Amino acid sequence: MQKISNTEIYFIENGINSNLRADGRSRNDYRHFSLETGEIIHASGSARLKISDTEVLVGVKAEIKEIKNAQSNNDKQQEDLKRFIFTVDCCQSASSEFTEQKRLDQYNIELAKQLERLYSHPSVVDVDKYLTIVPGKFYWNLCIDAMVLDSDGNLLDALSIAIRAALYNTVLPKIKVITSEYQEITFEVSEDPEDVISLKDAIENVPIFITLNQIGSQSSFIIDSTLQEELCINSKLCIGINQKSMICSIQKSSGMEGLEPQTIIQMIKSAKQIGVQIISTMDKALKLNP
Amino acid sequence: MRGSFRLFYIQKKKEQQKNEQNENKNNNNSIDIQRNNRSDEQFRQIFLKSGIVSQASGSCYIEIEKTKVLCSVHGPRASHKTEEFVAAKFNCELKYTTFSSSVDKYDYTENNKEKDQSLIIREALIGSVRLEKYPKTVIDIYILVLNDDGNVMVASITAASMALADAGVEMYDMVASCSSVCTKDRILLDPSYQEESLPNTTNILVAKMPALNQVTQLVQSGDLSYNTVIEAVDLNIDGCDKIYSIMKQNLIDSLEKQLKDKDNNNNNNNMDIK
Amino acid sequence: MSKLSYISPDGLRVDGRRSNEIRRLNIKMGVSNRADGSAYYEQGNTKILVTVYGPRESVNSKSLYDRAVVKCEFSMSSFSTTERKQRQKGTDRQATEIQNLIKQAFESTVHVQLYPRSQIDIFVQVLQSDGGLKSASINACTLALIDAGISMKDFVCACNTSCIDGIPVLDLNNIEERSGGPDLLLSINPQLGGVISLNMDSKVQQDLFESVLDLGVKGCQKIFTILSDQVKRYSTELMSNQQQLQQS
Repeated sequence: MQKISNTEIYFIENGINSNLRADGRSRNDYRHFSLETGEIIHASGSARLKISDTEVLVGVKAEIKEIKNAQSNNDKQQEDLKRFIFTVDCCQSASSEFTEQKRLDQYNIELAKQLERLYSHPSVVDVDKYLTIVPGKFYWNLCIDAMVLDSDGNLLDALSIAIRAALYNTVLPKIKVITSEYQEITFEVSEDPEDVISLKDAIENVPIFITLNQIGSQSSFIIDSTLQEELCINSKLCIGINQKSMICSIQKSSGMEGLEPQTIIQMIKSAKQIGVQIISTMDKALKLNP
Repeated sequence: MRGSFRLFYIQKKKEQQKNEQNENKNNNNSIDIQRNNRSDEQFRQIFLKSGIVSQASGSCYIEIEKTKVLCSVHGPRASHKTEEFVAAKFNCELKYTTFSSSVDKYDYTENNKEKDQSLIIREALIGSVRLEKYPKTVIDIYILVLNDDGNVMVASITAASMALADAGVEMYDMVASCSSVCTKDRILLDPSYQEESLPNTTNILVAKMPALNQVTQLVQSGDLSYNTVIEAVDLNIDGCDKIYSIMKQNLIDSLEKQLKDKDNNNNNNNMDIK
Repeated sequence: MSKLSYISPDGLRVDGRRSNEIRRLNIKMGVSNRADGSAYYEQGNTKILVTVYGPRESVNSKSLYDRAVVKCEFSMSSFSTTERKQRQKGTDRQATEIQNLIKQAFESTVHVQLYPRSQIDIFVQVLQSDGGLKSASINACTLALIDAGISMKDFVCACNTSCIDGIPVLDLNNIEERSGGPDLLLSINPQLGGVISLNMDSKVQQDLFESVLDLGVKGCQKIFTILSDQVKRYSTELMSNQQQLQQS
C-alpha cells in the first residue's frame, strides 16, 4: 500500500481549495494525453493512451458468437445479450499497490465491472446494425482487453477513452452467409483486408467516464487526478457521458466519506460539460488521423 | 422420412416459441402498467428483524415482500496483520443461495456479479462506520440472499446497516438506501425482479446517511438525460428517508424489547436468589 | 500449394530474410519512470516490455543472508496472439517455464552476492507475440537490468535456431516455429564466453547439430553487438543530459 504523510495531504488540499494544483493545473483542467491507434496487429482494433505516466493499452477482438436455443433458460439469454466482454489486466509493475495478488484481482474485477456497466446498455452500440450476422443466431462479440502498463492516477477515465478510440479503430471482416439445405449455416469470410466493415460510425453514442474526486472541502472537486491526489480523496464519483451529453452511468467508489446531494448535482453538471468537450476533441483528432 | 419428421418438429417448436415470446411480451407490458396495484412511488411491505443469528455479533433479517436477505456482522475482532494498525479493516461479502432465483444460476463459488455487488455495498457502508475507533481489528459482514425478487441491493444495504447497529459498532449514522428503475417516461421505486429485468431501462441506486445528509453510494447504469437523473436521484433520496424512518423505528423497538428481556431475566434471577 | 515452403529456391524465408539473418531489433531503454529499470524490446513483431524493481527488501522474508534472490513474473496480454486466450495466473505452464529460465539465467550472471538479504523483481509483459518469446524475453531482461544499474558479470544474449529442410536458420518467427523442426534456444555470456542455457526440442541430425549451434552462437554475438551499441548510446545520452543539468 502506498501511503502519504499528513503534511502532504495538507499541501494538496490547500492547493485544491485555492484552485491551483501541484502541477500548475486548475481544478477542471485535464492533463495532455496522446492516443495511438492500430498498434496491435493481432487485434481487430487497438489503442494506446498516455496521460502523463498513466499508460493503458486496449485491444478489441471480434469473435463470432452463436446463440443456441436459449428460450428455456432466461439466464443464458441474458448472457447471450452481452455483446461486449471486458477484461482489465493491471501489470504488477504498474503500481506498488498491485504487488499483492488478491488486491490486484479485486481491482481488475472492479474496473472491468464498471466498464461493463457503462457499455453493456443496448443504446451504446446499435447491435442490429453493426454486430449482427444472422439475426437471432449469429452475432459479433467484441472482447475488449485492457491492459494497464503504468499508472499515475485517473485509470478509469484513461481506460474508457482508450476503449472508445480502440472501437473507432476496429474493423470487422465482411461475412457471406451460406445456408445449406438442412438449414446449416456456414460462413465465408472475405480475405481481402480492404473489404471490411469499420465501426467508426457505430461509436457515436459510446460514452466515456469522467471521474470527479472530492478533496478537501465538500464543494471542491477535481478531474484527472494524479496518483498523489488519489491518496487523499474523500470520495469519488465516476460518471459516464456520451456525445449527446446523456448520463450513461454513475458510480460512487473508493471513498470513505459521503457527498451532499447538492455537490452531486454540481458534479454531474461539470462532468457533463467536460465529457462532451473531451469527446468532441477526441473525435476531431481521430477523424484527422485515421 | 426421419428428416421430414425432424423438420416438422422444428417448425412446431418454432411456432411454440413464437407464441411464448408473444405471451412474455404481453405479460411485461401488463406488469409495466399495473405494477401489482402499486403506484410508481409506493414501496412494498418491509419486514425487519434484528438479532436472529446467535453466533454473530449482530444480525438482521429483511423481507421486502418476496425478496429475503439475511445479514450477519462478525467483529470487531482481532486481526494479526500489521496493515490494520490504524483503523479496522472492513470486509463485505454477498452471496446468493443456489435456490435464490429461478432464472439466474448460482453455485458455491463467488462469481463476478457477487464480487461487484459486495464492493458496492462495502462502499455504501464504509463511510458510516467509525473504523478509526477499532484499530487492529477486522469487521466482517456476510450477506446471504435467500430469495431474489428485485431490489436486493437495497435490502442488503439496509440489513447490513441494521446488523452493524445491532452489533453495537460505532457509526455516524445508519445507511438507508433506495433504488428505482427508469423507463422511458416513468420512474418506478422499489422495483421487483421483473421490473428490474425489463429491456431498455435504467437502474439507479442511492444510499444515504439521512442525519448527516450525505450520499454514500450512487450507482446508475444505462443512459438518461441530466434532468431525469436529477429527478430520479431526488426521488430516491426521499425514498431513503422513508426507509430510514422504518429502520429507526425498528431499531428502537428491538432495543426496547432487549431491555425488557433483560429486566425480565434480572427479575427471574433475583427470584432465584431469594 | 500443398505444403508451405519455408525457404524459397532463392534462399529467402517466409518473411524475406536469409537463413542467417535475425529480425529487426527496436530497443528503448528507461521507458518507465516508476521502475528502477525498464526496457521495451521489439524483435520483428514480437514486442516485450520488461520492468525491474530492486534490489529491494524482500517482502515475504524469504531472503538469503549472503545473496540476492532474483524473481521473475511473466505474463502475456490476452491480445498478444492471434487467438484470444484468457490466461490464468499460476496455471500457465509456458509462463512458469520462461520464469524459471530467466530466473536461472540471471541468478548466475548478476553479482547476487553484492546485494545480500534483498530481492530483484523482473516483470516481463508480452504485448505481442510472434515467435522467439524466450530469447526475446531474456534479451529484454538484460537491458532492463542494465538500466536499473544492477551489477552484472556480462550481458546475457539469447537466440533461437532451427534446422528447416536441412538448412540451419536463425531467429524463427511464429510460422517457422510451427514447422515442427527442432528449436534450439541458446543463451550465452558473449564476453566471458560461457553458455548460460541450451535447450532443444525435437531432434536434429548429429552432423547438422554443430552447424546449428554455430549459427546460434553467431546470432547471439550479433544481438550482443546491437544491444551493447544501444546501451552505450543510451548511457552517453544520460551522461550528456547530466552534464547539461550541471552546467545550467
